[in-house]
Amino acid sequence: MTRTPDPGLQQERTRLAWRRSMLAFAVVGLAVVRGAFVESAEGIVILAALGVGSALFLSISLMGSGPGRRVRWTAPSRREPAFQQVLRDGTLPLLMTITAAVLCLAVLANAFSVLIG
Amino acid sequence: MATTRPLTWCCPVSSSVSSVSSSKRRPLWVYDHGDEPDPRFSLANERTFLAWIRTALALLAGAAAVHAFDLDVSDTVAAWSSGLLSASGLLCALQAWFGWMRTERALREGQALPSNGVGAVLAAVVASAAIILLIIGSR
Repeated sequence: MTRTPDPGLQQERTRLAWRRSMLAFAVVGLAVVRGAFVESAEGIVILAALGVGSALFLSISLMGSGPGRRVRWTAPSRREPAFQQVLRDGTLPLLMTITAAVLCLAVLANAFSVLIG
Repeated sequence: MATTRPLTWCCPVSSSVSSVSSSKRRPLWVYDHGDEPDPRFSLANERTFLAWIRTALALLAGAAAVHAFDLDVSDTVAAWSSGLLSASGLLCALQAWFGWMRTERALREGQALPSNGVGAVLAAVVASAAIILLIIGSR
């Protein structure tokens, strides 16, 4: 079975989209953690824990897209056997959403505490 | 293969997809319904999800930047704009996930794609954050 290249490069575009999203995640996560150490004391512990959690999440997800693995829920690698076998599910998107939402909530809570106190 | 694919130009359609149990894939709210769509549509849906996530991160970065930079505004103004920006970031993150789920299920069931629910709210919230920061904050 010869493999015809996909003229739309869907898998490649999706893989690159994952990479730049992860990069954005790393940058914003680090920025929020750095802000936590500058900001008031009560937010530091929560935000730092969240930052570490998101960094962990990031490294796990990047491992999943590395070569030689049977990629199921991250960006497909070059060794993806066949186009039809791109099997993906919502696990990584859900984790990513939760991490982003928690980071947003942390910054929101920080702003709220300024307004209250 | 029971499903009809609109385009099968890539490879001969094998039984590889149907041989994998769909019950292993989550969320079940999506994968318990319908048939496997053209993979390109799922990939496009995934990129849309990622675009929303990046929008959420950009708004979050803006919210953090209001605190990080020493702006010449009062603490109340900074807190309001930062709070509104991070709230809209939260909204974008939720739209990313629920939009992905609804679209993926619609693709599997061959239904019309869901509309984007948060666009107007998002525009209003971001605009108010900008107004607070620029107009009220500069007084």
